Amino acid sequence: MKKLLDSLASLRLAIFLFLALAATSILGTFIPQGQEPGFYIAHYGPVWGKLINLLSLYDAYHSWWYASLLALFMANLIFCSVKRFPVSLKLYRRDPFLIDPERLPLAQKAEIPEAPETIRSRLEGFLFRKFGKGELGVRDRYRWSYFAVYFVHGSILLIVAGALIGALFGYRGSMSLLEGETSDKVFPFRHKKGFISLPFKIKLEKFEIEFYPNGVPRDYRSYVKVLDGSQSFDYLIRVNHPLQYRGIKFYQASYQEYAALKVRIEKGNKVKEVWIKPFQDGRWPEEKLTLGLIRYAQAHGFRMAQIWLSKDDQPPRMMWLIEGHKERITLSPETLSLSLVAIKPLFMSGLQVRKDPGAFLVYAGCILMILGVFVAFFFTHRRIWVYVEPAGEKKSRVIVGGYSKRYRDDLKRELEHLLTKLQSELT
Amino acid sequence: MRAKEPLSGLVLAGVVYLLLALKGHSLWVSHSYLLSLVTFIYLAAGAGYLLHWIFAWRGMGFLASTVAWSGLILNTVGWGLRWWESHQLGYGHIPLSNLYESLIFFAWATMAVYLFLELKFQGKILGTFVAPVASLIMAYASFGTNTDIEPLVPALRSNWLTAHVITCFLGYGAFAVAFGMGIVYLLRPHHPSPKSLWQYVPGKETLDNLMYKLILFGFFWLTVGIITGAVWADQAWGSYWSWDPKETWSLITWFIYAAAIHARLTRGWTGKRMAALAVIGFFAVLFTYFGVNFWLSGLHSYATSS
Repeated sequence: MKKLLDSLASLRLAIFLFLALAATSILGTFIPQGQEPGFYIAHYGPVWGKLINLLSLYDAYHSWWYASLLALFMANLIFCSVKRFPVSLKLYRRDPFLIDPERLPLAQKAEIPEAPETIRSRLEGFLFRKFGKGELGVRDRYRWSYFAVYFVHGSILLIVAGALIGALFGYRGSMSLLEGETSDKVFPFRHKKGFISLPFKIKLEKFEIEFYPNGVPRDYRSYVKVLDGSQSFDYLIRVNHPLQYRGIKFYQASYQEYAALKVRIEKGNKVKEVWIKPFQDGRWPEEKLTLGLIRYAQAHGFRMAQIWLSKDDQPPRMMWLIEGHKERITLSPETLSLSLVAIKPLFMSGLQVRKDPGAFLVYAGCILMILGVFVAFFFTHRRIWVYVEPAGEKKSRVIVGGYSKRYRDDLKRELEHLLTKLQSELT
Repeated sequence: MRAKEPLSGLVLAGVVYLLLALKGHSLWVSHSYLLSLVTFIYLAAGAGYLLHWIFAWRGMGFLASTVAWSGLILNTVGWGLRWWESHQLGYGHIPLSNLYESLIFFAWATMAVYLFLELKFQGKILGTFVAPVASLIMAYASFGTNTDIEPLVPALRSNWLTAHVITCFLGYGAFAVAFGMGIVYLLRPHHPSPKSLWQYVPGKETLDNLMYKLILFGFFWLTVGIITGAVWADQAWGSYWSWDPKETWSLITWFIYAAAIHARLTRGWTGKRMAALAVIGFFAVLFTYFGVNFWLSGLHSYATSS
């Protein structure tokens, strides 16, 4: 059991897991994700295709084995941190004076023709204590940085926890709104059936596209009104500028161009003008006529619409109407003539809706990680010892030494510099 | 005098710019012309560093550094001019949005990291390896990609784009120099014979230490780069992580360097293995940057920015 715990907490396992995760992550970038099982059999042959389906490589990053690798990684992270924390605490607390000056790490020695007091007064920032015949001085920098690594490890746990909470209690979906339409329905991406009702409503007042001078789209904007009970407020949703309200975010995702049409129908000397809107049929009740929009288009300067119409319960007939032209259609026994008398272009805005109660944890983890890595890498603990003892009249023996977790080379240079500076200033 | 080389580089850059301005009868030199010239300046610097190494001639070392600094300055100026030109066209944006612009910045970051090290550690031989790499990047940018300034599509119009690209490429630049050191480390014999050119190269321990520092520096910026990318994706598409090939490959790169950093803490993982990881890691960087666009873009609708 202890052996198992030890290997779970080992650095070797950490390195192995880093490389294993790196290697296995490659698979999902080359194998197309999210296809039907048949696709893989057809593309990779029966053997490889079956293997892909068996190992869930069609959804590699959510497969059981990838999740287990990640879980093992988390376990390693936790055990390793728990095991090492007392070591760091000891390093932090360790009395720097509990050391034999003759055995300092990275030691360099010199004789300087000055009294110890003079030398000590030249050394700034050192804390001196009597030691044997002489005095031992210590200067510490960034000793607290031993703990930075635990913040980094903790930040990974925070991010993973946030991602899990988001996956379990959040959703992502879409909401399509025509200009003027109000809705509270979100159709989630994951669960194919049904919709989610929001605790408030969104009304799309207007949608517009902004263009660069050369005609390339510059921005998509949805002017919405949020209706929450008796409260309401206006908001402009743009790409990169989502709306956030009561923990739910709305992103500009897509748009579609539609139109509301006023169709003039003539039957003999009876005339009727009917409005048809997207997803909203027009009617001429006296004639038992129903008509609706199929699509709206613009080409070569003409605006046109494809519509359907049916009488009683007969199967619907389709026809194209072009602006400024009269079209005839025979619904036996009578003949109708139809024309477009008004066209009001109408946009539909596609909003992506997201609820992620774990997001703030992910963000907190990210900030913590950046700070932690910064401190761990660039504020490494550096300790310098100086031992000064008298060696005859106006003469001292000086030993310098130091300890650093990461930058030993730099420290060596710093020590050399310190000693040569003392020597050159005092000789 | 440490500032001597940057200063003479500044003078050289000024002279080159003035000559170009006189030739074109305009104060504003075309940025694409200037940047394609930087390709050859970096190449010349690389040749200078090589000559300096082979003949151990101090004057040539000074000249090579001067040329390299002038290249870095003109690289900066060209980048700035492109920014200014984009504003003249009516859709101004910081030039960090497509493959051409990111390559220009990649070469800039690589040279900047190298010249900073040179300034700090006074060794010039690595320039023989780094300057030609920067030159290759510039060559590919100038002759292999679309250099037109194009307006930004709505999704790219975000301040996070700037933060994301700058941080990522600072990391990539550091990893590129670490890669150069890794190669030198692997090639250099432990005890070079007195006649061999290797005796002028910094010792293995120094290389190992510098490599480690560069990896730490690069890893920090890669971490910030991935996070700013995630924040941006969250702002633009409502999802901070979607296992898109580009995201996944940046994570793979992160794992590899994380392994290298942790390996350093165990015994026996200095030197050769570290150098090998620096090399492998940089291949992952290159794949994240180029490979994903060329081979994997068909699967996901992502690499539109190039």
